[in-house]
Amino acid sequence: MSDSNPSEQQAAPVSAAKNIFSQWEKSIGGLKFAVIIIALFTLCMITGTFLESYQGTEFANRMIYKTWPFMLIQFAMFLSILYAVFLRLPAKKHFYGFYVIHTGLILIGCGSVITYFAGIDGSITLLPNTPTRDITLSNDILVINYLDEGDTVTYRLPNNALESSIQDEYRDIRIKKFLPFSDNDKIWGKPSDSLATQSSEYLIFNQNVAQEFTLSLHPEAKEFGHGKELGPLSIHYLPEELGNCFLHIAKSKIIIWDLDTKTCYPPEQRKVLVKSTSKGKRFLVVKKGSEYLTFFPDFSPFPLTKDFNILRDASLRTFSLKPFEEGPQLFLFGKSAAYFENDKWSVYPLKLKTAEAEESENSLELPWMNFRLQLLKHSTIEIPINRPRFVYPVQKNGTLIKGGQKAVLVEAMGEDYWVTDARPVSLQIRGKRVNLQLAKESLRLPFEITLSKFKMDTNPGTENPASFESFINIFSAAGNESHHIFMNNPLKKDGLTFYQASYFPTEQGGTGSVLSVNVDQGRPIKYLGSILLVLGAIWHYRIRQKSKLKQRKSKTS
Amino acid sequence: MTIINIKKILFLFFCLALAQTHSLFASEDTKQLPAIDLDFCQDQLESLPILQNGRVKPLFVHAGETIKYLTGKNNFQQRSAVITYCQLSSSSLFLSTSAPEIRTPIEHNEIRTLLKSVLSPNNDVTYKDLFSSLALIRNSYMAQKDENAMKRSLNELLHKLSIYQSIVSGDDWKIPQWDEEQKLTWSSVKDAFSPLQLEKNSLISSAKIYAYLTNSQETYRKQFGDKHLLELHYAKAKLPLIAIVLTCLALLVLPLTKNIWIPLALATATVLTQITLITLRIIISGRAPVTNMYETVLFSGLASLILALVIGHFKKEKSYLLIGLFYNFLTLLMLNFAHGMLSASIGPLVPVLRDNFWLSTHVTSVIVSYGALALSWLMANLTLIENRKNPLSRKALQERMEHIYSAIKVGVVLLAAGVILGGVWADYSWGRFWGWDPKETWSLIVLCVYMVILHGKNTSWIPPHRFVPLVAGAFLSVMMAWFGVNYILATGLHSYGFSQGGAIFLAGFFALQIIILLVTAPNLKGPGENPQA
Repeated sequence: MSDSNPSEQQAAPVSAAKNIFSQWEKSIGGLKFAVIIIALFTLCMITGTFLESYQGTEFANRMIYKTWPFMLIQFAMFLSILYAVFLRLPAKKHFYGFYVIHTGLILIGCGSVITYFAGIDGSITLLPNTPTRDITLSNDILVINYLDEGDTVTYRLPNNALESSIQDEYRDIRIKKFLPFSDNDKIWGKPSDSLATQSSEYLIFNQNVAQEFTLSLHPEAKEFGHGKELGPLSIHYLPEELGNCFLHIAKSKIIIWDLDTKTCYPPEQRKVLVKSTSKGKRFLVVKKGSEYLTFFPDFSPFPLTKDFNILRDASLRTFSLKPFEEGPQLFLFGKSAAYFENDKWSVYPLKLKTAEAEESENSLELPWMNFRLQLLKHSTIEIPINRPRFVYPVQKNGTLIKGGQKAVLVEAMGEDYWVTDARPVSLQIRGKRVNLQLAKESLRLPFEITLSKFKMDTNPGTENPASFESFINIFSAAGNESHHIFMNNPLKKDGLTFYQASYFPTEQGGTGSVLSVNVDQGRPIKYLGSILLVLGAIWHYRIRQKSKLKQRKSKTS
Repeated sequence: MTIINIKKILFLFFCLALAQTHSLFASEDTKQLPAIDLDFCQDQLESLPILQNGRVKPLFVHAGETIKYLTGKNNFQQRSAVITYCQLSSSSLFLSTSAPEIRTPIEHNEIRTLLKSVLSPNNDVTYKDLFSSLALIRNSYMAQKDENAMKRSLNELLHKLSIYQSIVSGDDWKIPQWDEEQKLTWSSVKDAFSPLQLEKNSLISSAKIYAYLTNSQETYRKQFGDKHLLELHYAKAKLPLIAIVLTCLALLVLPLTKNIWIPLALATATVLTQITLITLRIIISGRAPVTNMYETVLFSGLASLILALVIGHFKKEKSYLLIGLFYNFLTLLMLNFAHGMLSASIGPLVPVLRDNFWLSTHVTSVIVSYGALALSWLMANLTLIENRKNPLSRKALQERMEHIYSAIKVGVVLLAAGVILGGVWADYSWGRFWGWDPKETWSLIVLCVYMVILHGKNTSWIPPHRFVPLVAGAFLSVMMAWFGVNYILATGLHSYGFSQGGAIFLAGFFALQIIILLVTAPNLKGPGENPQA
């Protein structure tokens, strides 16, 4: 670089600026800077892989790989490479390999930036024979649905690894906090209505294992459920008053339950006849007020109309205990429990756990594998409420065992509400219905995809998969086409590439397929860069080899 | 009492309860079993083709692997693995008393105490006794709250029991059968020798069954050829053992003789043996020989020895041969003796790996690069140890640095190519060039670690006396990328037994290398400090 000749007065600052620039160029393009920045990059990656292993992929992404400091390091690396080339210009012969390597790296960097900003990396979940056109992306969003106005607003949640405070407001809703990883603390509190229901907390245990569970009949606590499956054991939670009926089970093994009077009785007690249809299906007709209700208790607890429709709003229910006499079935009525053993149903009272009592003293012995049951809490006023709390996620055997829930705290009309990915929230704001839901950002395809068949081959004689294949139909304005996608054989269409990624069993017994969908404009640049990098490395070391040989020869001569 | 997932436990109970009802020792049905002795189980059945774990293989291979896993020994009371396995798997099908009572050694002290009522003075237990203690083992397994050694050992014991159970019930292997249209079907021994089938094929004596089995073996050979027998020869040839003996000989001869041709000939013989070994594996499995730990270790040892021969030839330097042989010796040591960590068994591949082009380019270039980097690692350690014993002159150190540098160059170029090929493959089959997956990230970490050293070598920060120990230490990143990702970082990819052995091996390796560095590195002096500089 040659100096120009401006007037003397200007010369000093210009050359000083140039000096600073060349100093800057020297240090950024220098080897020491390269060493520091590569070492930093390496340390970040090492941390990332350990985080990924112990706390899951998403946490590692949010903590390291997808954060701005990590991107800054990569940008610094990019600068270092760029300046390293500038420093060694104009071109010298023994740097040819070096130029090619570093040009390759610069190209890979440019390609990655293009992919980062313009590329799409998502997935599409296909259910058998169900047209789909939405691609799911990785960003978390809060979807606010104004049902009455048919208006939908999405709010993009931050990509932080830790709890983040937001304080953004939209219309009447204030988004306060986002917890990317959370678990629930269970607290007991009053529900918003004064509905008289019951909720209970139990402990089931034997000498080896123990588990607490909470059940509730209140609609606001529906995530706690009124039933539970623990391995082969089924637990059913019923209103307290039904417990008495299990004491007097008559021959028919049917219980009639009146919701209005909160009473229950066997049909025999009120001389209700249990008859059978010509096909042997049992039914009974019960008089309620002036109405006659027909029940098929082995089929449904609800009465049926004449044309066999279920009448859900009737205040009578019947149910047959016959199906519950096989396998481990436990009925809980808050403060009592019932199960079938030795050919009869028995009801046992449950005592609350007290601080003084031994574990086995107050608990009920169950007839399965030495298990015992203990009532921990019972309430007809309070209900269990899940309150999300930030936790560092923990991964074990490939799945998160802690912190796998995302949660957003919103405020509407002065009240706080938690929206989690498991539980959307429905609100009434100024008389209008609003639905809040956590979801992933999605993208609409210009065509529709239908999975017509999913095929999985297994290795002969085993259940291990040998290949996954999706047969799909694409329906677009241009017409209909069929494709076959399998591992290592993606489909390219309109700039998008579809890859076989995964599969899952559907509730209907079929198999659904997950394709990853991808747009990568940076691809050709990255590929070119890669080729240059490898060729350059070979060239570089060939040149160095030759120059060393020359040196040696000149020394010996 | 800690709260753990009762659902899983209950399910496990349920499954095991179901398993128990399975007629294991066929106590009630004994009366109906055909009275045939197990003399048909003869060594000649070793070449019988069987279907097991998704692949046709000779009985010899599967019986050998299984009996070795269950008993820790290659044979049982002078009976070969083939006979033992065959008799075990037929014992519940016939009325016979000659079924072998195989035993498993119990290593863990607490488990020995747990099973003391059935433990023999040699600290082993028969599988029958083990099965009668199943409830005890299961309860003890569930009572372990943490993932400790006891829990892992119990888990392994339960796994062995389940394999034993599947063998004894006649479910473990399938033999070839021909239907009416002479079409091949595979059926388990339980089905093939069910009373109905025995009657149908009039198999009324042990001799008839033997004839029936040899006959189906012949029919299979007529229809499908001898390909499955190749694996029999492969398993019997014990090539890894031959290779390690040759390598040992070469290593012993090298310092003793001035004539380089003798160790060179031995090294070449080793290379040829290993190439045969690898070629046989390629033919048997039908894919590039780099799909599991066993194969990558084998391949890297061979690659590094070949590289050492080639570089040594061009540089006219004997130390390459020494290093190449020594590294090959280390890998062969693992192949021959570390069965708990490296399984020699040839199994089917997961779907995404089923692409021979990418497998043979990407994985091969990464593994060869590890072989080259291993040369630099051993050369660096050799330099450190030699210098500790007798300080090297500056010129000697400079020369050594050049040798180390040559190996690193090859390694780095191949690794960069391998990482990029991996990216291209990932792009091709998953739709992304880079995804920060632990395996790909660690391969980039290795590349970056060597980049730091190569860039730093030209600054004042890494002069020769720091370069050598840094290169020795940098290989730890290779070990982490190669073994650590699978054995330490892997989440649910490998069973406990595997990862346990692997983690101990890796920890031992790290500790040893760090001790060598601590003891030897301070002896390398910088310029001006070295007395002979």
